[in-house]
Amino acid sequence: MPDAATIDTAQLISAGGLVAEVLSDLVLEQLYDPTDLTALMTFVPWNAGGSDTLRSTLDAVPGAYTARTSEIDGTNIANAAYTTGKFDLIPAGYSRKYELTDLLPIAGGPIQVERVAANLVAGVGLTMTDLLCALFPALLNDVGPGSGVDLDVSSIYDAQFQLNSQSVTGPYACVLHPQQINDFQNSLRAEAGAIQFQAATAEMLAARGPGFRGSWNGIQFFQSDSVSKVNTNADYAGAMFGAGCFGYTLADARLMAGHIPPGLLYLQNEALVIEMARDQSNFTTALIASIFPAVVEIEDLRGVEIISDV
Amino acid sequence: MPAHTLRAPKRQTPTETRDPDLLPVDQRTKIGKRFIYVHYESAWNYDADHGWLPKLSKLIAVPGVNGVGDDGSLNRVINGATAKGGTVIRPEDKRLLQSGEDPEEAEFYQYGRYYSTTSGERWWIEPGSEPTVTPAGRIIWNTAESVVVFARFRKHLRDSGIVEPIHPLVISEKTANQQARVEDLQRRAAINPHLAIKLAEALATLEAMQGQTDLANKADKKAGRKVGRARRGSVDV
Repeated sequence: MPDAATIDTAQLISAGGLVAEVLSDLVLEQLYDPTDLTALMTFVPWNAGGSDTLRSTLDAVPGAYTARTSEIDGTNIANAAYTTGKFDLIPAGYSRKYELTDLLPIAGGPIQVERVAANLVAGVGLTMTDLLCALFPALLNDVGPGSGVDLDVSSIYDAQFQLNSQSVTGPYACVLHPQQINDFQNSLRAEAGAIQFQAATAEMLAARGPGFRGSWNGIQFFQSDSVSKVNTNADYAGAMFGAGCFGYTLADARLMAGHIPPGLLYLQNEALVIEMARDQSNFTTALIASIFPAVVEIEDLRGVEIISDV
Repeated sequence: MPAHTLRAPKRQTPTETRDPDLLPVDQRTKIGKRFIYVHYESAWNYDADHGWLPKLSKLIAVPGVNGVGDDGSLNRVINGATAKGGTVIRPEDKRLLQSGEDPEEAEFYQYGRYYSTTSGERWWIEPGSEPTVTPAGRIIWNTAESVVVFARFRKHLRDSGIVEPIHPLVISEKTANQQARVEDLQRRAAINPHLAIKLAEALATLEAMQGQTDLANKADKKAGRKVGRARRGSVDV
C-alpha cells in the first residue's frame, strides 16, 4: 500500500496536476445507414420560371404503321392519336439546423462549425433516400411471398418477370430493407441450382455508394432502412424498377441565396445552401441548411412493389 | 374540427424522465408518415378466413413526394391515383362505420390516426396497430393482432361496397398465378426439400381459391350466366 507521500494519479486528478480525461482528436461515426439512392432516379433539371411546379412531358408511344389497302385511296389511313403524358415535380423546402454556443470554439475540441457543416451536407442524400422510399407503397403492382412471409427467390423472379412483361428495359434496381436482403440471401442459400449472388466489392461500393449490396441475375440490389412498413407493420415495402420509373429534381437552392446577407452565407451550391444565423443576445450561432427536393413516379408500370415480412 | 372535450389528463410519476404517452424516437427511428389508402381493381389477395380481400396501396403524405406540397395536401396524389383507376379510401367515408357504431368510437371510420412522439412528430398508424414501449425505449408493435384487425378492415371495405367487388376474371387470373406458383414449387421441391411446407401451403391456398371459384360458377349458373371457358381471359396492356 503506498504511503502518504506517494504521488498517484487519483490524488493529482483531485488536487490538480492531472485531468480525468483528455479528448482525442479522433472522431468516429455513430452507426447509421448512409445509403444515398439519388442516382437510381432520373434527374430532371429545375428550370421553372414563374411557378413552383415543374411539369415534364412523356412523349406519345410510337405505333406500327397501318397497311394501305389501295394504291390510290388513302381513306383507310386514319389520323393516329398522339397521346402524351406528363408528370409534375413540386419541390418542398427541407431544412436542418444546429445551434452552437460561443463557448464551443473557446473550449476547443473536434466538434466545430466545419464538422457540423459536413454533417449537414451528408443529410442531403439521406433525405433523397427517404423521399424515394416513400414512393414504393404507392406502386400499382406488387409481388411477394404473402404478408408475414420472408422474402424468397421466387418473389424476386416474380418482380423481374413482371417488369419484363411490361417491356421495362434493364438493368433493374431492387431496393429492399436490410431485413428483406437478409431473407432473400437466406432463401438463396437454401436454394439448390440458384444463380449465385455477387456481393458488392470495394470497387462496386466506390462506384455505387454504401447502400449497394451486390447483384444477382442482372439485378442490382440496394438496401435502405428508409423502406417503409405496410400492412400494419407486418411487412416491408421494397421495390424493383427500371430506369425512368422515378424522377427527382433539386430546385436550385442558390436562387434563395440573394435573400441572405453575404457574410452569413456559409456554403452554396445548386443543391444546398447553408447559412449562419447569429443570435448575439443568446451567444449562439446557428447553421441552417436548406434544400428544395421533389420526387415523383414518372411511369408506374416501370416498377413493382416487393412486400414481405419484417 | 368540431368542438370536442379532451379525454382524461395524462399521468406521469415524478421519477419518470420520459412522458409515457409519447413514443420514444431517435434519429434512426423511421416514423410512420401520414397516408391515405387506395385500391386498384386488380389488387386482391386470398385470405383463408375471409376469402378475397382488397389489397391496399398507401399514398404517403410527405412534402415533395408525388406532388405533395409544403402543406401536406394529398390532392395531387389522389388525382394521380384516381387517374390510374384507383379507388381512394377516404377516411371520412361514412360507409367505414360498422353497424351501430358511434363515429367518435369507430374502429375504422377516420382511420388516419397517430401517436405523439418525443420528437414532436406524429407517428401515423394503420388500423389495429398498437405500440408497446419497453423500459429501454424499444417500440414493439402488436403485429399478430393488428393483421387480424386489418383483414377485418379490408373485409369491411369489400362488404360495404367502398371498393368494387372482385371481377371473376381477376379471380381466374389470381388462381392461375397461384397454380403457376404451385407448379414452380413442385418443380423445385424435388431438389429443395425445405420447400415442401411452402408447397403444401400453396396447394391449400390454391384449393381454397378454386373452391371459391366453383361456388361463384354455381351462382352464375343459377343466374343463367355463362361459365367455364368464357371466364378465362388474358390481360391487354
